[in-house]
Amino acid sequence: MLRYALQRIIMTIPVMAVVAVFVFGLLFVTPGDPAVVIAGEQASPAEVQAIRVAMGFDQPFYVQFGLWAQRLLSGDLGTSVFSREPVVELIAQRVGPTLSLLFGGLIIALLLSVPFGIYAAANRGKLFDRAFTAITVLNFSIPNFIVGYLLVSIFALGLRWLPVQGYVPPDRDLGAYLLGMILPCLTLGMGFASLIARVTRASMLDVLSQDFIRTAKAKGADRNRILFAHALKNASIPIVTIVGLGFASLIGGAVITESIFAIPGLGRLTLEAISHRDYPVIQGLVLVFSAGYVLVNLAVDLIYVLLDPRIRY
Amino acid sequence: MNIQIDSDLKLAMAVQPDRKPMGRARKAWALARRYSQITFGGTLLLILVLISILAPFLGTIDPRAMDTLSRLRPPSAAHWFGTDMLGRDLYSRVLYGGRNSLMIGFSVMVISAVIGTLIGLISAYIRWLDGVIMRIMDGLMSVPSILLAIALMSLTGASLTTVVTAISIIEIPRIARLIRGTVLSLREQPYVEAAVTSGSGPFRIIFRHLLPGTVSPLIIQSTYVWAVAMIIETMLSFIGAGTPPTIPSWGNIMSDGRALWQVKPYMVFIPGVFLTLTVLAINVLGDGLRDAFDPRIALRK
Repeated sequence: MLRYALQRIIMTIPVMAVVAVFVFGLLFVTPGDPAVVIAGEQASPAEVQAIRVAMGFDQPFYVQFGLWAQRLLSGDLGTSVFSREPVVELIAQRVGPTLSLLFGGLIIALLLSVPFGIYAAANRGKLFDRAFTAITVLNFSIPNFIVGYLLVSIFALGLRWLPVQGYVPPDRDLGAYLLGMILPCLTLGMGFASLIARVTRASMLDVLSQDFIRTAKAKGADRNRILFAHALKNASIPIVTIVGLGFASLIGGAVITESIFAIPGLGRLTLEAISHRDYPVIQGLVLVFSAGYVLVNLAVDLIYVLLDPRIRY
Repeated sequence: MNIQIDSDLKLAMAVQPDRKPMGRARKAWALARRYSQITFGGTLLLILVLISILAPFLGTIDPRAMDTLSRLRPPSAAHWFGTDMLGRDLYSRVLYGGRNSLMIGFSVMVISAVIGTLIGLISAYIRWLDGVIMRIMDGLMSVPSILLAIALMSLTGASLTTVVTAISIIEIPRIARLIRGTVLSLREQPYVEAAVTSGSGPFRIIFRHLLPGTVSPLIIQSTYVWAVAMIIETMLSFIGAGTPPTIPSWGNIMSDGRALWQVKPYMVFIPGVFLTLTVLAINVLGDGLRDAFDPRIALRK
């Protein structure tokens, strides 16, 4: 197990290296002078030259990449062109709200999807199952900001149960923080729930048609015991896999959700960086988000071993 | 969803030949019901595509024409969907915007299908390149798609071409992986081995024996790419990193309506409904195609 874990961790290195080269190289393959791109179209030649020297664009590509990679490995993501602050610090300041949102969204997605997916599979072809399939396809087709606006219209503007937008840090007022996170987490979780629910249903159907389930039924096991103890355990690998793979879309959704609910997290930082054409910050954010995604999928691979004792590496 | 209907129909059709041969219209009707998802998704998509193609003949005016005297009007007889803050007619903007949104999704689908197939074929066929290509694809796939598009858009500046390019780069690895997997399993098939042994050249094997086998998974995956591309375009435009604001697209119209959505929610929801219906139509069509092509499901029935 330890050996497998180590091997799997080593396998993430080339993937992250590709991401790093890609993010860095992007600045060079896009047409135009990168210094001009960063400075913006209204910048004077002197400003452009200052950026060119500061960013090291006057040196050959491989020298620049070497320097950049060296600093990256020591945890330095460069300096923001706009605020002149280190990118690492900018990201550290904003990471809290985004982590809350991702975690909350994931919990809501799992709570909404797995129970309904199991129930739909257990009642295959019945009214509930057909309604379930129709609702998941519909929900899957609605962009998440529309879901967000609908939720706000109903629960904040209509019923006035929850705040429309804004973010209160948990150390200032825990109650307000939790209330404020309900709608953003629901917005983020609902779209993801459809995907997990569909996979749960398909995976459960697959397992429920196998011989050991028939045996369990024949020996008179309780229906719920068959569903949860026998079937769900065996159906969980595809579910965990889709949670890992779907994490990328969850991150994308978080960027949009933060912008709807005015949550000062990494998504908002991304949008601010776009409007300032602050490429070092965008670079840092893409790297951090990709590393998060790779780590989540590393965790998923390690969870496989816990879920299925037959998997031995 | 339609297992019940399907099995009933199967029974009905099995009995049919003993009575009298089916007429052409009845056959078509039976087929349409047999593949109800394809019928529903395809029809809805066709209607939406026709609406946007026929936009000039459906009572629209110039979607960019500003009328400062009638700004922010609610839906009325003169402006069916109301007007925006520049006094532009939302009905015309939504119809013309549909052209751009559908075209962007369709272009991404075609481009990523062609390039993805090529990369997948190369990766499956030239073994020493496989490791390198697939690691690059893994790397590209581990960047969350919206962020990848944002990074590309922030460097190149907004234009229709860059939107299509950015979203295509996101989708190419997914197609390439699918095609590689399919070709790798096809290569092991006895008929392909037979063709190799009988001396067919690589091009003949690829075009005659391998590519045809990739067609059905490719078509199914491509429909989803179309749907996903339209959603990504909308999200990019919504946060201001997508289609240039001068070009109407569903994302841009919603982005325009954003500031006022609490007072004029229809400015966001009307284009939202059009987008949702389109993506729904494509997804249902894709599900239907998947079920129709999947031999395991056919066997179960």
